[in-house]
Amino acid sequence: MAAILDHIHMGCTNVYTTAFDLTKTTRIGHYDAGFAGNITIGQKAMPLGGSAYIEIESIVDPFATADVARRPWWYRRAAAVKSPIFSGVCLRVNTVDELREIARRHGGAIRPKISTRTPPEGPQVKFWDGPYAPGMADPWEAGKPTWCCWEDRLYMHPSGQPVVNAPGLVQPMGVAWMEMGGTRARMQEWLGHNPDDLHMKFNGKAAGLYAIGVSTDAGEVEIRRPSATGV
Amino acid sequence: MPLHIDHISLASPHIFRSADTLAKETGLGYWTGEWLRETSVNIVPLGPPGNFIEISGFIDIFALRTMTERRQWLLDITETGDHFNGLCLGVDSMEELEGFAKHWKSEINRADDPDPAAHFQRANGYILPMASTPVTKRSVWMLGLPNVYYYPDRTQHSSGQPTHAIPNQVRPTGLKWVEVGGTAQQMADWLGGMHHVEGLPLKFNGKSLGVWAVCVGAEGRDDIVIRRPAASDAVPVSKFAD
Repeated sequence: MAAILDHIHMGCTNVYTTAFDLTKTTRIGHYDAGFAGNITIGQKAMPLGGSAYIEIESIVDPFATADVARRPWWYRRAAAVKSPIFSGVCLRVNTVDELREIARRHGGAIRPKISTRTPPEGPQVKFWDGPYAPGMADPWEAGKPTWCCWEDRLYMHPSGQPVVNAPGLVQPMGVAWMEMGGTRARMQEWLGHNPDDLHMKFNGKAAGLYAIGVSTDAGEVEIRRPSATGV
Repeated sequence: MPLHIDHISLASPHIFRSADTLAKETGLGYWTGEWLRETSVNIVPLGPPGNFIEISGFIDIFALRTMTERRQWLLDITETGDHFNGLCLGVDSMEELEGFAKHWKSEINRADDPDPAAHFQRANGYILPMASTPVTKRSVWMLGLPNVYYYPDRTQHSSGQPTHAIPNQVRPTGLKWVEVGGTAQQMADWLGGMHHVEGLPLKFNGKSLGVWAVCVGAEGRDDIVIRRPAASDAVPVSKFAD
């Protein structure tokens, strides 16, 4: 079964203002998703409908990241461009076996350390992702999607959690399209299936995500940000 | 209510981790999503009549490329972990607040400042109107002293907002006492009279100024004591004596 869109990553320097501004302009709600990774990352989530969401992340621990080299590459790029950026696209498969096969096809494996996030409500949520290999650059840095498989708490998937109630919110109904750099042929080669399955269209610029269209009950909303590969 | 404790600030190097830790330690829930410029607070309501702990810290380290004395202080007091860094008293009218401003020969941070960035903002678009005194070039928190607040709209007070539903959550029944450094006389000198101090549930431990512990009642269980060092334990108030 072809992978489906799980989430889109938006790197920034301030998750509060980024999420608030995004909600203000799109009328799509968001919520606090807690903290993730090696204690440096704060997160907000914006459900998009269709079991996908935008993951908005930034650094919140000034000490753990005092060494600039420890700051994620997407953070440095967002800071450089002085704007939230689209850092990457993560697709979802249903089983670890599928994920392992995809990772192997790309010359890697599943990342040995499971990705965790601690939401304010408590129990951690976890997913495996790939492809990964020691020394391998993050595919997102080259504008290529990655894949994930949620552990055993898909029922707590970020796309299905309630947003902060705010006046005038619309109901998101799924990602209608993604504007990608690069070419359809290169993307098909990377994905192993037709990019049309993911409603991708291509602008011929450097690989990466440039914009998405989200269907809502009030019409389509476009979200456009600098692509991490272009900054 | 006469002069009362409104809230206590707990400075943190990582507000999400600190809130999660405190929730696991005490069973007290918290809510998230209020921010002011490069900082944010996770709020731990303490029950009636409306008190809370605000777990505060930087959430935008990019802002730290421009350092100020206050930002440096916040970094210095959180480098070794959470420290209580503010005792925030409350009054119920602008007249009372003006009285304290007059006592301190100071002004009032006005609640109606038209700049949204001058106030705490919430994810639902609400901007928290809050007036306070004294207005000083250096926060009195850095000296281990309390300031005083007045909320024109108490219906949206931070102590009354719904928390995330954490596992094994307990229901707080109210602030019991706050342990602070110094002496009752020092506090009376600052507030303008012992009568103010006598109305506050303060315990004085004679250590350096600032908050050292907070005690909260809890439904169906023993009182909860939250003990963290005062900010003055990390950065002596004498540093700001000039």
